[in-house]
Amino acid sequence: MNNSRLLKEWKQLIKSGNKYNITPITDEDLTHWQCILQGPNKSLYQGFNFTLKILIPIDYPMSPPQVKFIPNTMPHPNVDWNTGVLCLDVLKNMWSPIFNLQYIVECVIRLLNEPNGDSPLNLELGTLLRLGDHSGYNGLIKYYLHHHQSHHGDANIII
Amino acid sequence: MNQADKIVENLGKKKNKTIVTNLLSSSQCHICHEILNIPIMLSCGHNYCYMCLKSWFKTNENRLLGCPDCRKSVDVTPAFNLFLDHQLKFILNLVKEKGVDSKWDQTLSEREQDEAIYKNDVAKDMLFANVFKNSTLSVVDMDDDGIPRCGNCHWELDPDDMDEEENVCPHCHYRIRNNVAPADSENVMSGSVRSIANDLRRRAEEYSEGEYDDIIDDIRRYSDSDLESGVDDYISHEDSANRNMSLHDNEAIDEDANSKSENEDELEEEHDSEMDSFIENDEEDNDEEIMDSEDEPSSMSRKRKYSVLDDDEENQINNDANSSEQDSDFYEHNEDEGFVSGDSLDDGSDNEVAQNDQEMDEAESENEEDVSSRKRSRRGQVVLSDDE
Repeated sequence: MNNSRLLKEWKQLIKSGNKYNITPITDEDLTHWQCILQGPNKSLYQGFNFTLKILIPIDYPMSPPQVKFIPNTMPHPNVDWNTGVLCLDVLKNMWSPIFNLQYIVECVIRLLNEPNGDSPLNLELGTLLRLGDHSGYNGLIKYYLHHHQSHHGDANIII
Repeated sequence: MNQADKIVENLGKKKNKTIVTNLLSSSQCHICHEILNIPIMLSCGHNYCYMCLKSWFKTNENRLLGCPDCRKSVDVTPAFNLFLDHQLKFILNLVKEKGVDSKWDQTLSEREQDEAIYKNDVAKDMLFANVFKNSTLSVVDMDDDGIPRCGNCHWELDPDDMDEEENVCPHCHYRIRNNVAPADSENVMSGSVRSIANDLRRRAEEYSEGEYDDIIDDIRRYSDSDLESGVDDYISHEDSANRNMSLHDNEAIDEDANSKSENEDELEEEHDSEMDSFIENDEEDNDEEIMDSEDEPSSMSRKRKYSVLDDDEENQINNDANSSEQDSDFYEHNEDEGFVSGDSLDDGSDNEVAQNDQEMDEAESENEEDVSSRKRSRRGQVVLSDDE
């Protein structure tokens, strides 16, 4: 079931235009996927691209896929800066087998728009958000983004 | 020609084709994205393949089972959807007759394999890998202090003793499929009262301790309740209560039960019982029958009197219900200040409620009275039907 469902998802993605650029890393192996995520409009991440790595477990869709950003690329309260691991309930205890890859990516985009200060993996950003220091929060994210961009060139400005 | 034939004839060939296409595409299992095989329906109406649901339940064995689509908790063993199975088999056979490629044959043989597994599971009585066997849900009765209990044997469950991985009832060893949590006492409050209470709690430091509790009590008592109707209720109730005391006849109970069951609003009931106890307070001085209340020192706190009177009423109604045991029962409870040990459960929940009334702090005693008055009204109804 594992492979046939992933194959169906892949076909479905191609058919529907694949607007989030979700692709398997190699065509033979459908357990490693990646997604080039564009920073959502009107968010601090607008204009930046991020790479999302998706690892499909053997018992997918009964277990959720492991999703993470490339380490040291995503400044976000719910993303560990050093490992890129996300804190997202639908990828943990709220997982349901009806979710598919596209839905997961949509959830990640929603997380970028709506950071949650209550379960931070990035403590600095989480604290700033919880204390309501918006200028500090925005400034730190911008600093991270530009600092990272100038040093690694992975997240390139597309405007 | 029956109605179904007429419809098909009127639609024409092209429409019939779209109907079959739509039927097949809407009969997909949301888990494996294939056409449903051995459709199993949950209580919410969502259908999944037996094999898909089995593995989903198996991976979630130690959590509350939920519908993958709507998350509604799966309390009972889901059932095989025979009707849908027949329809899908019929359509698939039609396709088969038309002649299909080898891939389709493979799909069909896979379906047959799964069906064999299902039949085997049914024969061995181990559906869903026994997830639903020897397991139950913890239940919380709001009328019983909101203590979580085993759904199978009603043994009291302690949330602190429960293991995150595997909850097991210490008494009957059934697996508990949901989280064991005591009910929040605030759940008893109605929505508007809760919002006012929360608002007050935020400003709680402005009040002294007792003052704050009193205010909360007052709000609970009077919000939403119409004062005038409350007084009317109180008069009719007082009438029946008086007769109840002196006559101990069934008619009085009938009326009592009626006047209470009409009284749907909990808050009104509360109001009513409170007024009642004020009146009985006055009667204490000359009414010999309320022995228990007379024994109480008059300097007792207001709240304690309430609970004692409450107990009194409980006893009387209880005595009426079991008139054969009336005397022994009545005096047993009234001799030693009206209370027996809370552990003696042989006399049902009445003693427990009374006992708990005393242990409760002031704020919660109102809730408790409310609960017990509801219990009383229910008991009244039961008695009524017994008489008939």
